[in-house]
Amino acid sequence: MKRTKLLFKYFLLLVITVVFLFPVIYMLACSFMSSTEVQKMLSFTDGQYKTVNMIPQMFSFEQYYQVFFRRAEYLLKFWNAVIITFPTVAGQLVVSSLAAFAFAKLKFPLKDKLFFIYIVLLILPLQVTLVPNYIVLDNLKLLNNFLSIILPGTFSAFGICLLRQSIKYIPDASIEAALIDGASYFKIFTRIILPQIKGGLITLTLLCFIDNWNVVEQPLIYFKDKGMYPLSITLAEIGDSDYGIVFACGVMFMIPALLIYLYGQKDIDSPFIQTDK
Amino acid sequence: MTKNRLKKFSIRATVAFFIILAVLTYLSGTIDNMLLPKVKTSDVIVGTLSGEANGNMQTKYLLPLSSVNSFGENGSVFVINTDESEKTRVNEVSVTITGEDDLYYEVTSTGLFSDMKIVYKASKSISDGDRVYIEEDY
Repeated sequence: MKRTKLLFKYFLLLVITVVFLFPVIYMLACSFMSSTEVQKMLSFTDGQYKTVNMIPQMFSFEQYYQVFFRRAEYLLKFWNAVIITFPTVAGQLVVSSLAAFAFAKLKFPLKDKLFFIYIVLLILPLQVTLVPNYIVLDNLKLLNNFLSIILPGTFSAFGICLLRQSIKYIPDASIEAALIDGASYFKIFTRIILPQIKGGLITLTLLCFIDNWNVVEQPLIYFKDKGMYPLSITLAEIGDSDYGIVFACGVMFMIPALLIYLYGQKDIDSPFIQTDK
Repeated sequence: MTKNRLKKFSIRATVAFFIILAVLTYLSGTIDNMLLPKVKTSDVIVGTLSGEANGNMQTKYLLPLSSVNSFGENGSVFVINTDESEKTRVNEVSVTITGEDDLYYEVTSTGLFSDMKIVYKASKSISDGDRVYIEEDY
């Protein structure tokens, strides 16, 4: 009975894994097909796909050759995504950790009310804030500028809420002891707080990176120049004749996210395990 | 793989990936041009082999022998065009051969104009709509 249960559990996990991994495997498989094969496979007949091949008939690097050597526009779009994502992640890490430290450990008037406002901001869907943000950015003359995505992303409420939870569980006694020893708040932050919320920082980096790497709505609204669009938008705009390129671009676009996940995968759950006492 | 080895690997792989992409992007123009078929072009000359004025209304052109893919009285030439993204492409234009000497074909065509450039030599085989790199322009 126990064994059957275990087998069923493994079977269920296997099915779930296949379901989750299918798009990735399918993308990888298609990226090694020739453009003709992909086009043949994806052309619609009576509203249905002809076939779904997981193994290329002829292994080909044609799509990668096109993306890396012949179609520089996709590489440029990739760098647009980098320009948007990396400063946003770095900015959010700095702003969120400092703000979270203040909200968790410092005493100042209206602290709880201010944090409540942050929570409300967190609850608001992105689409609600798009128009007000557009007006503000227009007044700041920041439309059609990468800063129009970087700045709102940097001051996102999510990171503050996440890190505040991590910092909250650091004992006050350690901070008080440091204060008695003459440490400044900045020193306490860098020497006591930051090393203890490393897991939280990595978690935030991962989540913030994925969020901004896959950004779609903001560039569509804030950028007039299509040349500034990141690859996440361009992938949707690639024409029927270039279906194969979509898969190669998809693989290229997935690699940084995958590598960053590999870097932080062991730490991603530690902020909660270590601090939820 | 232990935690630290995995971290080291992911950092190295990330750095390598970004360096490779940066180099490819920086050199993309050069790489692209290197991989394009290189062509030599010349102007379309309006005229006749005999040198006499054209009797009928149809304009006659003199094209280098190597520029025309001839099959009997008909043939085709590749003309240079620039697309919306300012990239150089070739388009195939049909011509009717009305005469020839050691250097030129005398042709008529509805798709050929005096301000066009035609391909008379290509490093690789080219077809209609292909992107090309102009190596020499006479």
